[in-house]
Amino acid sequence: MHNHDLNLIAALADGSLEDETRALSRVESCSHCRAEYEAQKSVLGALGAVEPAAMTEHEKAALHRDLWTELRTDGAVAQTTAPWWYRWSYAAAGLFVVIGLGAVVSQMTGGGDTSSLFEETAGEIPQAEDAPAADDGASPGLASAQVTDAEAESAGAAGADAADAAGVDAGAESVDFALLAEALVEPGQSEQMLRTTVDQSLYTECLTEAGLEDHEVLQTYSLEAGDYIAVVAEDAPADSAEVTFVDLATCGVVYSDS
Amino acid sequence: MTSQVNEAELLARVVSGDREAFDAIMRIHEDRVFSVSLRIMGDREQALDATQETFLTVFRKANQFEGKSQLGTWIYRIAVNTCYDQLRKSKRRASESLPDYVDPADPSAEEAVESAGLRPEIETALATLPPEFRSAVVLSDIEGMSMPETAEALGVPVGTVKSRVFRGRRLLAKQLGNQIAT
Repeated sequence: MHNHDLNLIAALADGSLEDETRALSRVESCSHCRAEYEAQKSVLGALGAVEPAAMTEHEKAALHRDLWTELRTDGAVAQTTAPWWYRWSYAAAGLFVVIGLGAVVSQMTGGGDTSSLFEETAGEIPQAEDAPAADDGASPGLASAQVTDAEAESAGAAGADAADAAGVDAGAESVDFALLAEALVEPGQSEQMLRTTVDQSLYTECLTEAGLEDHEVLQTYSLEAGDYIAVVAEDAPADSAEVTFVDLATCGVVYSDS
Repeated sequence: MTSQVNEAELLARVVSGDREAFDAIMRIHEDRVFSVSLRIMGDREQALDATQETFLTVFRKANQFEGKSQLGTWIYRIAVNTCYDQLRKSKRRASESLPDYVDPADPSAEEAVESAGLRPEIETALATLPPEFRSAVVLSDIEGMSMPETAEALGVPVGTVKSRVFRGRRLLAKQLGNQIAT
């Protein structure tokens, strides 16, 4: 039997021939060819019954996390793409600097002396502790983002708080999920819009395990403390949705703002 | 065609530093890359390693993709070569027992491992094939790629693939008990 016949029989076995006439004739007339054909069909049948392989949700989450960690380690990426609230925190910090500089210039041009300015500024710091943006469980750096006045209650300041509370350099227990929940929905950005940016299918198994199969993922977080998802009930009203956070490593609920 | 264009756009965004674009590419191809790796490596943990290594290479070499083939084919070629490298480094055979890295808290894990596992006799027979024959059979007969796609993914002519697939099946038939006179 020639190689040409082998290819013909292999193609007949896997059904890739457009015209099978010649191959069938060959198989009919040659016992060796028929045995080869039947063996090929038999193996194809066994291989064809093999189920597609897929990773579990945990394995996929670990793959994505480890890959980005590796790429950051070797410098292939400078840093992760930060969520919107983290990026806004820089804008808010910049705004405070501008406001502070404006106040300094105003004092100086208005004839106030520098020493009194420092005294007044120092006097404001204790007041910041009474500000609504609480620092429960947040990292020590949070105080720097809490300065001054009503601006501290703005979305930008909340974003800065949330960024620190996210525990970029701290353990899991320091993650302030309450602040993350507060800062989750940016003004002008609906929860529906957030949902559509997340591939919900990746988290179905974990939500089921957490007893939250009727919830949808709003946002994902990759923090040093771990990977988390923020979810809300599918049928919850947009203006009063209760946000729940799930740890992707354990599929357990770590926080609910109910 | 549309998906090809979209994937090319995604890869261009990856080159410009867009992490979300790369995540999107991974979501499209990660299951098949893992599946191919698992069939070639015969071991789930090694297949996971190979999958990660494949996508690391894809990210690092994204600017080298010339668009002459489909993005998926290019990625599967990287996956196959990654598996070859790892096979050279390790002679470990697939374990028939449930790997100990499976998280017992993940009820889907055991099921996934079981469903992904080949029948033991097929697994054993595949493991005896030379890597080049095994990868050709895996891509063609398990993953269902056409001969031209398989040839592109393996970086060899179509005729070579046909020969490897035929001979690979023949060796499998022998291993599985269907002796063929030669």
